[in-house]
Amino acid sequence: MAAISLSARDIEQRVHAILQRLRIRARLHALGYALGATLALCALLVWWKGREVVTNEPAWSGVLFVSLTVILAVLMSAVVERKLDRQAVVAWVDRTAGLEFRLATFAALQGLPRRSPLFSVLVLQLFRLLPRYEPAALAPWRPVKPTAAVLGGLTALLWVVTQDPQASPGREAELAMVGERKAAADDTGERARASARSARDHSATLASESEGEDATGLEEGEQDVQDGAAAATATRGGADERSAAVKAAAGHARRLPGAPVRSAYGRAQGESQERAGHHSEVSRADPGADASRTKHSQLAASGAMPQSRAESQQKPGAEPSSTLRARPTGGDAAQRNPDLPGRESNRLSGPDSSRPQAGQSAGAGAGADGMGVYGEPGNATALGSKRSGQPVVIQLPVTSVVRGSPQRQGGTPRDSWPQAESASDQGNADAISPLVEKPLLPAEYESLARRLFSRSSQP
Amino acid sequence: MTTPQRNVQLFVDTFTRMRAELQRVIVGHEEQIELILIAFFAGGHVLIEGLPGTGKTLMVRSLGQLLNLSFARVQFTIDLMPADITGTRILVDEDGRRVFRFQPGPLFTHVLLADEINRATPKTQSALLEAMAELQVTVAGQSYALPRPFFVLATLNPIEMEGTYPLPEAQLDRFLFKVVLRYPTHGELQRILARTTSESEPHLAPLFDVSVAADEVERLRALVRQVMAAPQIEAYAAALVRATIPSTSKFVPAGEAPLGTDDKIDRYVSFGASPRGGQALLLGAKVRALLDGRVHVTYEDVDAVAVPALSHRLVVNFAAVADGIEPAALVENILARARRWRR
Repeated sequence: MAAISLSARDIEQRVHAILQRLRIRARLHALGYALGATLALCALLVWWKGREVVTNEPAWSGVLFVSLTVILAVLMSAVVERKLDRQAVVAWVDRTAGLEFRLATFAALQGLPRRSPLFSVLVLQLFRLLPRYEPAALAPWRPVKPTAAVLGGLTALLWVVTQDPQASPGREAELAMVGERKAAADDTGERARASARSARDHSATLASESEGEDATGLEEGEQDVQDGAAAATATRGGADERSAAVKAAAGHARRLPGAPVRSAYGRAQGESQERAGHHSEVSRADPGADASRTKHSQLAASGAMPQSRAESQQKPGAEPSSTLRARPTGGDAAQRNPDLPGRESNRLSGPDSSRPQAGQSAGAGAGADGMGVYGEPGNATALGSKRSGQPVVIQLPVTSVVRGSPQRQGGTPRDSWPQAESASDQGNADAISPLVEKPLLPAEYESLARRLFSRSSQP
Repeated sequence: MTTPQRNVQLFVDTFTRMRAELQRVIVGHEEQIELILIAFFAGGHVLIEGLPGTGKTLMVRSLGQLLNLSFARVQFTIDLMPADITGTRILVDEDGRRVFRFQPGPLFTHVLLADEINRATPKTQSALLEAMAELQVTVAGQSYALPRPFFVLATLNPIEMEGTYPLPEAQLDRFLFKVVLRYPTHGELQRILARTTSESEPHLAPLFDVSVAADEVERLRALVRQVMAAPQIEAYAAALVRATIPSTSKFVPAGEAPLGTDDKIDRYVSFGASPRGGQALLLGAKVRALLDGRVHVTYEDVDAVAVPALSHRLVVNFAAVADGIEPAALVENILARARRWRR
């Protein structure tokens, strides 16, 4: 009976064969993935730059394609093969073939000069388990994922080529989107302005129809005007200011007996819409002006800033602040064009000089400028109820301060106050132009103003 | 079949028969019986912690009977002296002359049951521990070798701790495994009652003839040491042992923790396992591999014996006692981390 000789060499050769097969398979897989990636890159290039990128220089494109594929394949296979060392492969075979750490023990102890007497038993067990770790069974040639990668890349390239990407569609789409957005914005602004114009005309017509005034209606109207003005003073932003203006206008309408409320509401709404249209225009044109306007509207609405200061810091093209918006303005044309007559009076008097309306100045102008800031609604209302078209002089209480010249740009408030006081002492207030007489601030407002000015003078 | 292969098969058969015979006598405790047999073939000693009446003495006596080895039992008490277990020199008449002659104590046996070892004084305990470690005793300056195989099963009674001398860590370290015997279940208790109160008690058939029993056992023990462990397995066992040592210990070099630091170990453990713990891990894993018919150790073999081999070597601090943290739970935690590390 012939003895069966077992050698560890058989198992060693098997391990070597598995290692070789895994390396070759890794290279093939790397080539497949690289080909797929290169095809995908080509598809991307054709998508962005057009088909002529490939067709203009076919030879160079081919060379570039092959080079890129080879480089990618070499890089990928290098990364994979670094992990395919002998110990890792043996551990993988142990796990995959269910050898229960036999092969790893064999590989670790095989090179030792003095082996255990039981090593032969280990070799025998591994020999019996040889069918479990056949290279073909462990690492079959089924490159499913690399083939899928190649097919995916090829499909992408074919799809891009069939889509005729002469001009970069992404860029076209972007341009188209920008154009549509701009057109939509222009359209919205135009529509808003037109709507505002029609609403204002409608309310003006209704207001002119109801000329006869009633005393009761006048008192109620005055009360509502005050409420509306207070609400406008308390507002802090453009959104709230709209409702305040509507309320003030509603009060203004109640002062006019017979005039339906809807006329005032319509007018207020028209103004708001017009402002909205104008606002969007200004926002696109000058964001800085918008930010400045918002800040000033907050300050003016809260009563923390004198009117002249708030107005003097506004840009010429900017929309009036929220406080100023609460009164009827001199119209868009007058505001947008400083050369138009009546602009100064608009700024000071409030009523619309181009289209004077009964009770209009009292409705909103006093609400914000006359009362909200200085707390003297009676004076402002009485004067504001006069027909506009003449310069309005605000009569002051007994204690008064005449402000000299308008505050210089960049000058601090402290610069202007002594000058104004000296002018008042000398009695030549009229010699110093313009000339708004204003009541002295109450004590609490004065301290508040001083605090604010001192804070603003700090760096 | 080659000789090594036949030896492996003989080991598997012997172990399987021993386990089956012991389970005929002892009801339940299958896992504990296997651990005791693993320790026996690994050449170590076992510390059994269990309540009275849970079959400790029966287990040891059955093991001796089964292997046809000599068996002795010593009840440790507070007045037990070292000479009472090691033996002493006595004056005898020899040809008309009175001479001192060594009278061996109960230690001179193959299987020894040291019952309630924590009731003896440290002096007596240390005499036993010298015999366990060195397999010899020294009386009056003369050393006497113990018979081989020498296997000690010491029991600890967890109740009635007054008047006891808890084993110091150095002595605990000399036990390969610590096995905890728990109460039997309802079914097991019913079977115990039926078996021990009937007319016929189960009879154990010895596996070996008395003349060759010791040699056969020694041969099987030698076979265990021939089982191969790859360097990865040795590194794994070393990492497990190292992981039981808190990183804050001043006795370990910094930055040598393959498994990283463990907050629980740092918080609850004062001293970790010694290198004897690593030896216990590998020897126990080798026996377990042989039981499976393998001649090499796997990670699973090491994991299977980690808790009985390491848990009694951890010296936990007061915080662990206060929080109710068992050393076995700490070892399990280490094993969970080690499983992630080895992949």
